[in-house]
Amino acid sequence: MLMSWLRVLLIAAPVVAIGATLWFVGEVRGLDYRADQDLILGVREDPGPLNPFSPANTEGEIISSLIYDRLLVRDEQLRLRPHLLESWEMVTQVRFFFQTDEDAKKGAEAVETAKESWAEWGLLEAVRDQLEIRLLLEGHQVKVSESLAGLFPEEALYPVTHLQIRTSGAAAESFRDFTAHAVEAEQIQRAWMTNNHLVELAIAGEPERFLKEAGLYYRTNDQLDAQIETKESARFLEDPILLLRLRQDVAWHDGAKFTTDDVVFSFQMATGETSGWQFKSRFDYVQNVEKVDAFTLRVILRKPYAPALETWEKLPVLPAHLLRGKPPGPFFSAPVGTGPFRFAGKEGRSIMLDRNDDYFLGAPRQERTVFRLLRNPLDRAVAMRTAVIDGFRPTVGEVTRLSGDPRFELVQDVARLESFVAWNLRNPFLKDERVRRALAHAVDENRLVAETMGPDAVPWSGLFYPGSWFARGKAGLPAFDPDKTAELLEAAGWTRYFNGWHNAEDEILELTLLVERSNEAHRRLALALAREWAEAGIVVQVEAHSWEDMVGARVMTGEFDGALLSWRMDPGLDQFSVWHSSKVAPGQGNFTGLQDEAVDEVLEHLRTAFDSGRTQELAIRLQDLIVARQPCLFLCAQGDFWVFRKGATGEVRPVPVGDGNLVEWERQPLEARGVGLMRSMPWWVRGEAIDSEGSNP
Amino acid sequence: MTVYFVRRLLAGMIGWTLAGVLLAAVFQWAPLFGLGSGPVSQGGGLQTVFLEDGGMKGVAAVSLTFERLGASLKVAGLAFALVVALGAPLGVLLGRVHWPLLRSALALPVFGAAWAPGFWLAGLLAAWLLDRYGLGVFGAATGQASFASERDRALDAWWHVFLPAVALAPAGVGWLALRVREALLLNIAASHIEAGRARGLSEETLFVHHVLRNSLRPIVETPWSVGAYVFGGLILVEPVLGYPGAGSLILQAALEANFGVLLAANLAVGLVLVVSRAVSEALVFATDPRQRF
Repeated sequence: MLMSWLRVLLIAAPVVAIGATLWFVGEVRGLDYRADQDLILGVREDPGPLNPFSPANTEGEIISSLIYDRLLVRDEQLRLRPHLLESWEMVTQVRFFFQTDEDAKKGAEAVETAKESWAEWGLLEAVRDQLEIRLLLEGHQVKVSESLAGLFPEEALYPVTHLQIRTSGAAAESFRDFTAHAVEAEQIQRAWMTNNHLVELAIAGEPERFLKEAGLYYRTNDQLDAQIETKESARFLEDPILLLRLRQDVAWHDGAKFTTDDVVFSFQMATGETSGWQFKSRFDYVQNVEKVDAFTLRVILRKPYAPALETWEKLPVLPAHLLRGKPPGPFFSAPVGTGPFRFAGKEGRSIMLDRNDDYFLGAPRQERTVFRLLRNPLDRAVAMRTAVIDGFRPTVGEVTRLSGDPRFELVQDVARLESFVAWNLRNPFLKDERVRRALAHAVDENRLVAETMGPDAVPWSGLFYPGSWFARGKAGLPAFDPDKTAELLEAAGWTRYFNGWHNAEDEILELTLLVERSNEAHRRLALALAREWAEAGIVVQVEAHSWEDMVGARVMTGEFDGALLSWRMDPGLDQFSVWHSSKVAPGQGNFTGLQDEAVDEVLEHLRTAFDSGRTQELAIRLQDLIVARQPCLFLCAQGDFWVFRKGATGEVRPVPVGDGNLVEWERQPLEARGVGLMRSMPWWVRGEAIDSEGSNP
Repeated sequence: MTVYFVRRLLAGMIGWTLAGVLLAAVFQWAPLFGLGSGPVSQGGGLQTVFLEDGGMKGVAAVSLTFERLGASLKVAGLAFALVVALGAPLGVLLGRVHWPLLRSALALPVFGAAWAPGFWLAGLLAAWLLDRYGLGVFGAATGQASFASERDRALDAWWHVFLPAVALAPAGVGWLALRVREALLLNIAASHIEAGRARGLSEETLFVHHVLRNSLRPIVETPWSVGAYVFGGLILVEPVLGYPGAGSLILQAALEANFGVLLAANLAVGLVLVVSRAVSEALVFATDPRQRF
């Protein structure tokens, strides 16, 4: 009996085991790991608190960009377009100060009678306010103020005098103290604290009396060691004004209306004394920000400044009603913005964002976007292959591994991480432009980059953000030409011996190149560069340091010969702080120490060029000058990759139709346009299932 | 039978092991094992584990171990079923087939399987299934999935039990098949078979009732032998596949020098092996009267 059962078992058991296994595997193969319609993106690092002023990392920046909106954005040609703004206007206010009421009245009449010339002058508005007449003119570079002044008899006007008060410290406090008690303080029309040692002001009235009183005050406070200087004097006071008009249909995620209060609050937060915001100093040109009404803001500039709007593009806007007078910590762990997605919570390692149904451009088609923290590359690979996530930003190593897989598609973002060797122009050898050019001719950058850098590196394309409207066309780098190197060095007084190049003092042309220790691609590139230079007879030692040591202790203090660095390019135009000779002090932006009159001139002109043709011309000139001067040897640019599951993601963006009130939803493949992928992220959708039909805003 | 068991237990000192496990589990006499210092004693013997990550902090080592042991038992049970279902018939087939070509064709994969390390197979299996079919092979990955139904979730859960079992089974299958074949060959050549044949018994009767019955020893001993092999293998296979069983717990505890957990897990695995030994002994007792002494 037992044995006949055993016989049956011996035959049946393997059949059942194999059959059950086949059935089971078949069932598992049909398993779908995703029952949701969420767009799930992997993130490599913990995004930290979602503070747009100081995001902890790129992941934090990406998530913040979906929650918070900006006042202006760049279009596909990288031109600034209003976003939370409805429009902007650049005007100039010209103020005349009359000695008597009678004069002012006559002056007002004179302006009124010349009404037919208003259009010719670009005069928009004329207001009389007791002894003062204010004229509002179009644009920031008005040339008619002098002729307007001709309308009024010279003796009827008080002259406007510009003064500077320099102190050894506490400039703002002492000035406030002075104005609180001074009789002549009413002459002050405009005061501006440049820093804690300098107050600049414009007064209208009798300068002698003002100077006497000010002199008395500052002499009695001799610890301030004040010097009062009279600068130029004019018959009027000119204030460039930037009028910002906000959209009226924008609301915060909690339902509160978005108004000028929020912008003023954010501006104060960004530029306040305690702010550590990296772009804080870009607002130095602002004299004052005033609220006109709930949706209009008046920004008074110190002097005409063409890239003014660029700075407003950078300013993140935070809700004043939730943050004023409160510690910001808790806010940033559950933030409220005006952006296309609202913060919906954290669950385990995921941050969930739900679409903002009231978004003023139309609610995004994707209902929920999830950012899931996957620190380990293996976790990311598994999550992609099992379709648990739809995409992520891979490291260079992961790009190589994922690139051959037909199930995935790689999308490269705009190459905006620029790598270059910064030369220290204070070095006696490198001071000579010919030596720097010789170094550039000695290496074949494109070949070296292709050999040593990862697949994300592309050849360097120019000084400005790729695709910028003001910098069309490629900048030509010095070509690889060892003969030219020898020629340039000989011209600079160097002679080649068996062990290198010697100058008249018999010093060997020997340099060190700093490189970041943890950046493997840079280390490879630095060694390859050193090899190429060695072939040209130039001795270059490569030294690896940690990022903090290299930048903090060496580059920013000017104690280096060359450093292989990289930075993220900015879509802006203004590179004043990087190349201008006034910024060469240790710790300032111009760390190469370039001091070149021609470069300075172009940089200054760029700040006052309002015409796009002129801007373009200047930008290209700046790029050519920098390439010719070679303060840096530009090598390549890197663009982040994103990897997506093929067919799982797309982009459905609103396109305005007709008068702008109607919107059509248009499906497009995911690709980097304009400033890059981050800009199109609000419109990313998961799968084909999500239809592109939708409601209008 | 009782006398037989008591004698066996005492003879193998198994009773002492069992008693030790029970005492340690019930009374938390960790200090008895020379663990006077370190994080374990701070937490009160086996009461508390100090695993920083993974939400295990503050869980009693014994309950954690038994929870993980349950997960590992599912794998071991499935591996055992596969080993017996495939290994025994394969061994019989190997012992009975006379055609040399077929015998070689069968022997080759059997030897191959007997030599295959489980963790190595697990790695290959995982990489292949994941890369080729996009199947969730690691416990951690599909833990983040959102399934359409409870059936799908259960299917996925069993899939994660199935994978380590499949990784571990081949070596057991090969081993069992070879032992069964060996026993068959010995018994086929035995003189009482020759005598039976001379007395006119059919080949069928001879094989089933005399050869096969006498060759059951390796099969009935599989709970013990496969149990020992599977629990050893799981220490490497579970971490490879991300399966939260006793094996990965032991490895993690060893890497973190968490003696409380290590001790509890080793005792628990010891308990399982004792039980499997007892099951094997019972089966031997039932099938082989020669062993009843």
